[in-house]
Amino acid sequence: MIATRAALAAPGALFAALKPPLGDSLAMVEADRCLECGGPAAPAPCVAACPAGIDVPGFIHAITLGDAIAAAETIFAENLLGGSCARVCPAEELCEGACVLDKEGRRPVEIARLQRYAIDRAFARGVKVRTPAAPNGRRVAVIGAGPAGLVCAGELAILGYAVTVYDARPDYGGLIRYAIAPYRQVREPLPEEVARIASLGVELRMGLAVDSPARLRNVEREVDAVFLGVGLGDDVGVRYPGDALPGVWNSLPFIEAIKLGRSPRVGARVVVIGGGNTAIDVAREALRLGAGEVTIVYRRGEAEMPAYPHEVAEARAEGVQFRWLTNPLRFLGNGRLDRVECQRMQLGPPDQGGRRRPEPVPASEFVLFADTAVKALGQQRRTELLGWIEGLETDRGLIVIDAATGQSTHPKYFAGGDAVNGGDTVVAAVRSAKIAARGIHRYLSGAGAVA
Amino acid sequence: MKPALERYTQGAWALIVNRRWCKGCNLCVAACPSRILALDEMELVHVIDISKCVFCGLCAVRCPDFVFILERLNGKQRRTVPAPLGEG
Repeated sequence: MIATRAALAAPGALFAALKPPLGDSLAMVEADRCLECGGPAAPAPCVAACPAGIDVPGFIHAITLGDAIAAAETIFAENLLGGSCARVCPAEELCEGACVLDKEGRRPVEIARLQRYAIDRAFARGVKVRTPAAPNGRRVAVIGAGPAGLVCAGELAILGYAVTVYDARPDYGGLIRYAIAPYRQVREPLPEEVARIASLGVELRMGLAVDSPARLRNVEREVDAVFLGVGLGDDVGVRYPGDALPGVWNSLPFIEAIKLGRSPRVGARVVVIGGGNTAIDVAREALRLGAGEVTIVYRRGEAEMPAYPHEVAEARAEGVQFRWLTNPLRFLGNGRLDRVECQRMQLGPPDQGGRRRPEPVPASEFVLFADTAVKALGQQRRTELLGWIEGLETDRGLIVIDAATGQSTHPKYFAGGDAVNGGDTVVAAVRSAKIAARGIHRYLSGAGAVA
Repeated sequence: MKPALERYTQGAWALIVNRRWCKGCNLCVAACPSRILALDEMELVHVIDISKCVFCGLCAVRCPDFVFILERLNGKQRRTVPAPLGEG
């Protein structure tokens, strides 16, 4: 959904959802559009496309019967963060992109909005999520209260484990809480979801950093297995001259400031550096913060942008401008940023990864005026914590796991989420956490030996 | 030559194709998202691979001649969940 210029400037636009919630009758009409595909051998395309494996036609069928609680139970059966995912999933790339109606050239069923509808209604009626098994006397520690950690903890609690989640931050949710664009999700429904995960018997220890080898040993000593859902670190440290000028931001602190209610004053002109989904998010947030001119600067071309094409299109329709094949050289200003010196690039031969390497065009320097510049170049990989675990194999800073069980090369440690995949969707973290929970269960219950 | 009435099954589910009513207009072939319908040498529709059928019913919706009938259990048990994650 594209916001008009006027709507973008309206008060509250920053937190206004891109897709407003559905009411009862609209939800039912939308649910009725679903053909409820899916046979015994070939699942519905939306289900096959969902990393969490939610029975989409099943929950939509429940909505057509007016039973939002049954719909929510169907969603939670596969995804304990179904409410958050309904808001943050790139559904256009997943379930909705796979919908048979889309293949017919029609508008796909709005699965994400229907999922949000079901869960909002169910939460309003105080529905429980799932029923835990009797305690089995075993303990698991989860490090990181992001989506991977929360889901792994919940799934293990349902299997009867006593689970403690540790996170250095004061609030749970990881990047959902601190880095997902506010027009997708600010905080709700995380508190409702986490309250239900806690009610399964999960203990959350927020503000408790596992930040030294001794602390990690203390955590590990008390438990039978550890799940590492530690995600990635700060923004990558790409340095430019003039970085320290006020007005120059890294993407994570920029978004976090907005989400914690301390929105930066961005001024009239904003330059965003990067070509990923975070760059797009920051640019759209800048428009909502009142910037008149927002430009994304990316050193490769549009085709090479890692951002989802539908989000690039939405950003452009909202007025974000793009400078492809452009690289920043330095930030300039007198005591405060006022311009960014850039250079034009051209694509040279492909690098090892197969992407064509951008090369500077000689004598092509030019200046973009900017009151604010935000570097959205990706997150660093973690090395510190991972170095403390003996025998834990990593590949370029990412934890190496068995894809079928989530087990790392240290048998007591399992992992999932961004710390393994290098940065992917919330729902990908949910999937990896479910796999690891089952892997931990098999490892600790001896049901089937884990190699 | 294929029979006039074909019953393709996937578990307890079935797609029934009444080929006597088919006039070879190709609408269903174009509509099928799984691309498992084709016209045979008689220019009558048949199912190439029922294991890929997602039972969306678009063939039945699009067919002007009521060639297709989908049979499936109704209610909650009608669905099967996809294969578990991992080896689970």
